[in-house]
Amino acid sequence: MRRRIVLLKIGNKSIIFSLDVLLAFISTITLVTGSFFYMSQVQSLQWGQPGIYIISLDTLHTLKIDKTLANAYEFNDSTNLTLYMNYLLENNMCAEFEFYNKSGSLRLSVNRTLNGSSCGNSSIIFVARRTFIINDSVYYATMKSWYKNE
Amino acid sequence: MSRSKAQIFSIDFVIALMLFVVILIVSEWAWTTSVEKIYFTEGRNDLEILARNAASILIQTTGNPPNWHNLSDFNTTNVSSLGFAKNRPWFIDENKVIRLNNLNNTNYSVYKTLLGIRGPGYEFHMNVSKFNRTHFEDLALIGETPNASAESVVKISRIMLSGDDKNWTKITLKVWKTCVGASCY
Repeated sequence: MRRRIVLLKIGNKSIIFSLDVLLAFISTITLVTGSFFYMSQVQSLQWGQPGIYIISLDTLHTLKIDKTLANAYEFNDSTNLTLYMNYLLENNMCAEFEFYNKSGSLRLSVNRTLNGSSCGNSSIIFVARRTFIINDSVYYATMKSWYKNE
Repeated sequence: MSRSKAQIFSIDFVIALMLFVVILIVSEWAWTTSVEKIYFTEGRNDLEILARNAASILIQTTGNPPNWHNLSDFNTTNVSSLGFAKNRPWFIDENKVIRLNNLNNTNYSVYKTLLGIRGPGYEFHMNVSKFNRTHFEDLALIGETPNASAESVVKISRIMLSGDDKNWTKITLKVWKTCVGASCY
C-alpha cells in the first residue's frame, strides 16, 4: 500500500508530514474538543417547573378545604379566588381557574391579572385538577399556572 | 574516547512540541471550565432537593414527637424531626411556629440538622406569615437571611391553613449556600 507523504520545504530544510500524522492530529483535536463540548452541556434542571406545579396543588388543596372552590362555583363569585391569586401567588406567576360541572361544561373561569393587564400566555403551562362536593354532587376545578414572560 | 555530545533538534520536533503544548493548554482550560460548571450545577440541584424536602416535611407532618413544641429540652436527642402540621397535613399549628421562633437564637444549628440542611456552608431562612384578608402578619422569622456571600439561593413557597378561620398561611423557605474558600467562583 502506498503512503502519501507531504514535503514542506523551508529554505534548505524540509519537514515530512505523512497522512498518518495529519489524521492523528485531526482525530486528537476532534476527540478532545468533542468530549469537553458534551461535558460542558451539563444543564441545571428547570426547578421552577416542578415548583409551580407544587404551588398549584397546594392552592387547590387549601382552597378545597376552606370551601373557597365550592363557594366560587355555587355563587359564581370569584372574589376570594382573586384575593388568593393577588396575595398568595408569586408576582411572576400567572394562573387561571376553571370550574366544570358533572357533564364537563365550563361554568366559571377566573384569570389572574398582573398590574391591571392580562398575564399573557406561555408555551409551558401546568394543569392541576381537584374535585369538590356541593350537596352530594361532584364538581371539579382546574388550575392552570405558568410563569409570566418578561 | 570522544566526550563530545550531540542533540537532535529538528523543526518537525519543535512543531510537534508546540502542538502538544497547545492541546495540553486547551484541554486544561476545557477541563477546568467543565468541572466548575458541574460543581455549580450539582450544588444548585442539591439545594433545590433539600429545600423541597424540608418544606414538604414541614407542612405534611406533625414532627416527631408530635408534641415537640412542648418539650423543655429541645435538641436532636429529644426531637428527631420538625413538622408544623397540627393534626393533619396543611393545617398549621401556630404554637409550633411560635416555639420555633422563640428558640431561634440558640438552636439554629439544631434546626438545620432536623431539616436535613447539612451541606457545607448551607444556611436557611424561613418566614411564616398569616394572611388575614387584608395583609400578612408575620408569625415567625427563623434562621439567617442570605447575605452578600450567598452563592446560590433557592426559594420555596408553600401554603397552609391556620386556625378555625382557616386563614391562608404562607411558608417561604430560602435555602442558600455561603461561599466557602475554594468553592467561591
